[in-house]
Amino acid sequence: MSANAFVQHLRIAGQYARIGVIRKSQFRVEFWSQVVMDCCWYASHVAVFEVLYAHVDDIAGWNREQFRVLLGFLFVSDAFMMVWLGQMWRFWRDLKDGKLDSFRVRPGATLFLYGFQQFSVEGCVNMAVAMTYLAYGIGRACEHVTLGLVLVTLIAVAVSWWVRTILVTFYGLVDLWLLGSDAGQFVNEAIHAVADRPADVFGARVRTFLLYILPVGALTQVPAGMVLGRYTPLGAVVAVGWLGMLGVGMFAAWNRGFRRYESAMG
Amino acid sequence: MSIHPSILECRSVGKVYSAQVRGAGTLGILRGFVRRQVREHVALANIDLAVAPGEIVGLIGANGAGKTTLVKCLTGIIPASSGRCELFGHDAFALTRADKRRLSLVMGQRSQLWWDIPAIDSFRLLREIYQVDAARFERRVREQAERLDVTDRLQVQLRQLSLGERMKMEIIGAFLHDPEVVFLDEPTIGLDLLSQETIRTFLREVNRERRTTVILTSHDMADIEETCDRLVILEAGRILFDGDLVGLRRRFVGRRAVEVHLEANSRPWSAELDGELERFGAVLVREAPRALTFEVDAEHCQPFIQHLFDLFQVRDLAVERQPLENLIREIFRTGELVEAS
Amino acid sequence: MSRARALAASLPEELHLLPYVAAYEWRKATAFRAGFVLNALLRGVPRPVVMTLVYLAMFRSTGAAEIRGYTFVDLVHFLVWTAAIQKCIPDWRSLDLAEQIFDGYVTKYLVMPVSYFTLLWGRFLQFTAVQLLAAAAFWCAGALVLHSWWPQPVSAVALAQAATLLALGTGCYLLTYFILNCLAFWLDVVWSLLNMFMFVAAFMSGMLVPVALMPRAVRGVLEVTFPYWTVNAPVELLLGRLGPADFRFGLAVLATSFVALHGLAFVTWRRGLRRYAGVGT
Ligand SMILES: Nc1ncnc2c1ncn2[C@@H]1O[C@H](COP(=O)(O)OP(=O)(O)O)[C@@H](O)[C@H]1O
Ligand SMILES: [Mg+2]
Repeated sequence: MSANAFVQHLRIAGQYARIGVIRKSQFRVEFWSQVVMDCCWYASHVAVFEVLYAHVDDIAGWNREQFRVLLGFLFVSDAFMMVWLGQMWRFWRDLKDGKLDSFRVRPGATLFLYGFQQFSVEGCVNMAVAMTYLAYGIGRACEHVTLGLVLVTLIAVAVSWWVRTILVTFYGLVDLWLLGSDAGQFVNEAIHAVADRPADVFGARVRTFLLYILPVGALTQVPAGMVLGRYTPLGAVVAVGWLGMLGVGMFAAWNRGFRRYESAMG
Repeated sequence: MSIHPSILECRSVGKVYSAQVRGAGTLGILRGFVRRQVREHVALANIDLAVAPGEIVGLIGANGAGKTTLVKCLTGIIPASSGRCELFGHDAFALTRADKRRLSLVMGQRSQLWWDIPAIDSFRLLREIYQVDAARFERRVREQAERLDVTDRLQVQLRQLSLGERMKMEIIGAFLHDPEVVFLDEPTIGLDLLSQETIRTFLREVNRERRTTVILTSHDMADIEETCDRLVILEAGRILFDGDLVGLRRRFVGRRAVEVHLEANSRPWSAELDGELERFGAVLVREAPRALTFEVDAEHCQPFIQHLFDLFQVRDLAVERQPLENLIREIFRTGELVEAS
Repeated sequence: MSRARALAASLPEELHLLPYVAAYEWRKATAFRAGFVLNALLRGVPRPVVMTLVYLAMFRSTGAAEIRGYTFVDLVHFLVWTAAIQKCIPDWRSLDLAEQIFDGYVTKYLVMPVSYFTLLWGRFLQFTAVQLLAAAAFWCAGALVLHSWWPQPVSAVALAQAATLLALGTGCYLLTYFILNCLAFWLDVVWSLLNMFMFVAAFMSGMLVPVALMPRAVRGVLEVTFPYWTVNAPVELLLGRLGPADFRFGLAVLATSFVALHGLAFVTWRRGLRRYAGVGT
C-alpha cells in the first residue's frame, strides 16, 4: 500500500468516525445500553477468573496479577472491535443480501471500506473502561512503571488490535467460503473460547499454532507477554513482524475469497 | 463507432448462477439435507458488446433478463463465468484503484448513501474515498444540486427524503468525482414523472458537456427513448438487438397504444369500421365489451384520436408508448436480431 | 372471562397447528447445511475443551486432589454435562421478533388466524427436538470414544429430574427472550439487552464456572433464579450431588418463574401490539 493510499484510508476512517458521531447525537438510550452491555461482558470474565483464582495461585504459569493483564488485552481488543469493526458482525448477512456491491466499485480496499464503516462512539467509552482495567492490571503486575513499559504497552495494544483485525478477516473468509451459512457464529464462539484463556494451557504444538498460525491466542498472550517481559526484545520484534506478515497474507486471502461473492438478486 | 477504441467491452460473456433446489415436503427436505441438488441458472449467455467513450447506451429488458447481472459483471462486482469483460482495457473483475476512480454506479433498488445521516455528510465521505479536492467538491455539489433541484434538501437525513429526492442524491454522489463511465441500474424505478424527467435531462446534459459514457438500464422504454442514442435489448440473458435508437424508433418505437373506454350509450365496435382504421394505419389489438385498444403510428396518433371522438361516445382515453413486450415480439417477427454485428 | 373462554375454545386448533409450525421452522433451520451442522452440533463445544485444559493446569499448580469437593474428573464431567445442556438452551438469535417489529412486519401476525404464541412454541418445539438430538448425539459420540472417562447419569430418576428441570428452564429462557424482544415496541436497544441477559445468565447458570466454586453467599442468591435451575442444578443432579428435596425446590422455583414470565410475556405482547396498531405504521 502506497503512502498516498495509506493517508487516503486514514482520512476515510476520519470520515467514518465523523459519521459515527453525527449518528450518535440522534439516539441516547442505545448508547448507554451498549456501554453497559459490554461492561457486563467484562464483568462476567473478571468474575470467572476471580472465582478460579480463589482456589489456586497459578494457572499454566500465569498468576492472578499477570492474568489481569491478559484479560486487559482481551477487553482492549474487544473494544477495538466495538469501536471500528461492528459492521463485521453483520458480514454474513450482508453477504447474503449482496450489500457489498457498492464497496466493490469504490477505489479503496473493499474490506476496509466495508468493515470499518460502523464507527461506534459507545465503543470509545468501552475502550476507556478496558484501558483503565488494563492499566490497573499492569500497575499491579509490574513493580516499576517506566517510560519503556508505557511504550511497550502502547505497542502491545496496537498488536492486540492488529490481531483482532486479522481474526475478523479470517472470520469473514470463513463466511465467504461457507457462503450463505451462519457458520461465522460458531467460528466466533471458538475464537472467543480460546482467546479468553492463556494459550499456555495447550500443549506446545497447539500453542504455537494458536499464537502464530491462526493467531487466536495471540490476541491476548502475545501483547501480555510483551508487557510482562516474557519475550526478549528480539523475540518480540520477530513475533510482531510475523504477525504483521500474517495479517497481510490474510487480507490477500480475503480478496481472493471474494471471487465467491455472488451478490444478490437485484 | 469502430474508429474509437472502446471504453468497455464484453467478449462472449456468460454468467451462471448456481441455486440449490429443494424437494417439496418433509421427505424432500430430508433428502436435500443429505445431498444438496444444485441447479445452474444461466443469467447471461454469449454477450458481445463494445461501448465507445461518450456514448449513452440504454440497456433494456424485462425483469430477470439479466440487466443487473451484466452491470455487475461490467463493474467488477462479480466475475463473469466465461468470456471476458473489460473496462478501460483491463479485466473488469481486477480493476485497479485508479480505474475504479474513473467509474461510478447507481443502483435504483439499493441506496449507496448512508441512511441515517444527511446526504451532504455522505458526500464528504465520498470526497475522501475518491480524493476530490475541496474546492471542486463544493462546486460540484452546489452545481449538481441546483440542476436536480435539491439544494435545500442536502442537510436533511436521507431517510426523511422522498424516493425521488433520494435518487437524485445518489446521482449527485455518483457524479462527484467526474467519472468517465457511469452505470445506472434502473435509476427511475418507482419515481414520479417529474423526477424521472429531471434525472433524464441531467444525464443527457452531463453526457453532452463532459462526454461521460452512460450505461442506463431500465425496463421502461420511456427512459431509454428519451435519453439514449443506442439501445441494447436483453432477453433471457441474450442480446436480442443492439443498434441505433433512431432507426429503431422509426420502425417500431414510434407506435402508440390507444385505449378507449366507451359510454354505455355509445355505438359498439363493428367490423364495418375497419375501413376507418386503415386510413390511419391503425389496428385493433384488443376488444372488450366497452373498451378497445388500438395501435397506431405516433405521427397519426393525434388525428386518429380526434376521429375516435367522432365515432364513439368516449368516456375515457389513454395513450401509451409501445410496451416493451410488443417491441420484442415485433423484433422477433421481423427477424431483425442483433442489427449492429 | 369471555376472552379466557374463547382462548380455551381455540386451544385444540392451535395445538393441531403446532407440528406444522415446527416442521416449517425445521425447514428454515436446515436451509443452510454447513451452518446448521456447525451451529447445531458444535455449538458450546469449544469452551469446555479449553476449560478442561484450564482445570488441568489448576490441579497441576495446586497439587491438591480436589477443589471444593470436585476432583479434576468431576469438573470435566461437569463440563460435559454443561455442554450437553447448553445445546438445549435456545439461542436468542433464533428469535428474530425484534427485527420484525422494527421493520414493521409484525402486522402480519395481526391478521393471521393463529396466535403468535403458537408460532413461538412451535419454534420452541422444533428447536428443542433438534437440540435434544444434537445433545444425545454429542453424548453418544463422547461415550463411544472415551467410554470410562465419559460421565453417566447416576440414575434414571436423576436423568428424568434433570430433564424436567431443563424443559421448564429452557421455556423460561425463551420467554425471557420473547419479553426482551417485545421491548422493541418501545425501545431500539433490544439487541444489547439480550446480549446483556446472556452474559449475566451465563454466569448465573454455572455455564462459565460451576456455582459450587463460587463464594457460598453467591450460591444462596442464585438458588432462587431460573438460570441456576436450568443448567447448574440439572448437572449436579446428574452427578448425584443434589437430591429429591433439591429437585422439588427447583421445580417450584422454575414453575413459578415460568408462570410469571408467561403472564408477563402475554401482557407485553398485548400492550406492544396495541401501541403498534395505535401508532399506525
Ligand atoms: N445472486 C443470484 N443468485 C442466483 N440467481 C440470480 C442471482 N442474481 C440474479 N439471479 C437470476 O439471474 C437472472 C437475471 O437477474 P437480473 O440480472 O437481476 O435481472 P434484471 O436486472 O434484468 O431484472 C434472474 O433470473 C435471477 O433470478
Ligand atoms: Mg435488475
